[in-house]
Amino acid sequence: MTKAIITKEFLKTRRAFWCSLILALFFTIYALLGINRVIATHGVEHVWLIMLMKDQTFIDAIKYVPLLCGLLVGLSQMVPEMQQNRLKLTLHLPCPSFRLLVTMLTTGFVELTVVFLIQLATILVFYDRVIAPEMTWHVLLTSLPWYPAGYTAYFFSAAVCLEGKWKRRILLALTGAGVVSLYYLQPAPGAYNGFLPVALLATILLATLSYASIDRFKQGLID
Amino acid sequence: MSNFSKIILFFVSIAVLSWFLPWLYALLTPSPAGEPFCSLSPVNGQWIVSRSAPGEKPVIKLCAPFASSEEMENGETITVAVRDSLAPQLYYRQLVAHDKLPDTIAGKETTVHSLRSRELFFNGSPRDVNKRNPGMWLMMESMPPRVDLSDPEEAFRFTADGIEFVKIADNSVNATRSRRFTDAMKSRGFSFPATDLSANVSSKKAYDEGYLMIDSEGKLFHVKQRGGRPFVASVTMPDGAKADKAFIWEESDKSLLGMVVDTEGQPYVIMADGHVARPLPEEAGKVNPRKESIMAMGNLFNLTFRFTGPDGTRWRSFDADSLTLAGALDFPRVRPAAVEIARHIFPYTLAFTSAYESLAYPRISNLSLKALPLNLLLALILLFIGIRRKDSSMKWGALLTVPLGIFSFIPFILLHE
Repeated sequence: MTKAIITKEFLKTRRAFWCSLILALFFTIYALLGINRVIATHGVEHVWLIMLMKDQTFIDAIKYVPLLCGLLVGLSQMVPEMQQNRLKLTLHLPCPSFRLLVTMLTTGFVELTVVFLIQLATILVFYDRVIAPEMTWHVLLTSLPWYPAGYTAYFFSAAVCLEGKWKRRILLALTGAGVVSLYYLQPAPGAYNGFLPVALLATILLATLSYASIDRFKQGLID
Repeated sequence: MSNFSKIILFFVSIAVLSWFLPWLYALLTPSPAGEPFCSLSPVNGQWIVSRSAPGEKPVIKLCAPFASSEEMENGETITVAVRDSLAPQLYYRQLVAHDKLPDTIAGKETTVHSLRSRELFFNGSPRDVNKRNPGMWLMMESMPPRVDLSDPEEAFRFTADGIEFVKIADNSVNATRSRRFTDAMKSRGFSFPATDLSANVSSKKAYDEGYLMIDSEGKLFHVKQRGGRPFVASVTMPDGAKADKAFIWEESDKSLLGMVVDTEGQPYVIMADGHVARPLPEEAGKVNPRKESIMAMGNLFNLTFRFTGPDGTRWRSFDADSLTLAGALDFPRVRPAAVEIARHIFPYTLAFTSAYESLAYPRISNLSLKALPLNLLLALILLFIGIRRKDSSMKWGALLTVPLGIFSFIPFILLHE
């Protein structure tokens, strides 16, 4: 049954997955080509100087990509469930609703993780050729908060879509926007290093929000 | 699990509101930010205090060198022309243009050259201190073959027992330079690794003095590269003093290398000749570079500091040669009315950024018991609603609202069913 649910979820999200991957790679390559242009016109010394003296990482182009990917996968996965209340059929499957939800969310989480890892690997491979290892890790750690933002967007979009009442959807969406914006408050490199472990734990806990939405749906709290 | 997810949603909402509502309030109630600018006149030894409010002309007043707040307010108002003549160290160009620059002031010859050669302006912010560093630094050539400085070609990192130079062009280690610098620094008593470094790496400056470095034992060193070879000098500090944070200056006045603050908060000025750290008098007060911004203005006559922190701003001016205290002004922080009102509404503030740091993490601040009456009122409202709806769980909302106030009240009103 679990395998069938995973297949179902992947069939729903395959287009969103490939779009997210293309989007992530497009913006990553765009950012890296920008660095290549700086190296060609001013030399690699200029890249080091700007990074070390001006606190620049040259990857700002990918800042909002994880957020977009999270929204894309979340909406593509959960909107079909709410069309014509198809979630009722899903909840009638011979599977406990908690396990059902965990399987659904894990599928989306894994898809996002694959996209994010490919993006990070691309950045790592490029930067490792150009700058010192310490600076490469500095760049990667700077980009890390954007990925919890992507996961947060995914979990909140899932919870919003699965929620039956519009008033609650709006409140969940506003809360989600507030949480996501916390990851973009401080643009300084490495600013979130100390907070990342707590942020990751909090992001995992947000996955439980969808269960409340499903529970309310089962109680008939729908518009 | 359903109850657990509801609890998570409530606490997430409380956290978001704790950050968002005070932020929104501050956005809607901006307070005019305007700090007075002060300079000590070498002509009459008095402070020249310039204040300007938005949309108004600046008001310039004179006050005694150790004036109180009341004396500052009642000081004599002067015109811009009078200010120019009383502060030739800042406005000598204006005076020269009108042929009004005196030949001597306070016994010192005043020419454009003598005034310009002693100019110094430094601005240090806590945000530059409290930030992450990747662990790599750039080394410039202080004695380039041509007059102009060029961009650095090598960077360096610290290892457990030395310094390692990396060629930027091919990312390879320059073993020879690494060994030379490590040996030179060790021979001067440097204990690796460094805990603090200060430099101004830019080819757009008149000269380069490399780095001020603090080693792992709190000793301060001046390190730079001259003709590809290491120059390392130990900066003499009083016995027992351990350096905490250093700032290199590299200004027109080459007699001053920079400043350093020790672990007790005592500020020092570093003399380039002899590499000696001279402590500022006790009246300068303790300085915390992680919480206070430091501005230094130097000239032929005096060296003036402005220290701005959470409690307010203090100006201290010292004689340029003897470093004796010549003037002191204090401006305690005054809370605007909007901030006072906020303390009656919000029991605390959650912030993820700070004016003093470039780091992002949750900070709870502005704890206020003045919001307690409002908190109790909101808690009573929740209790009343709970009684009317015959909902006993509202009592938990009321209990939570007593300490958390409006941040808990809103989620309970909107989300609880």
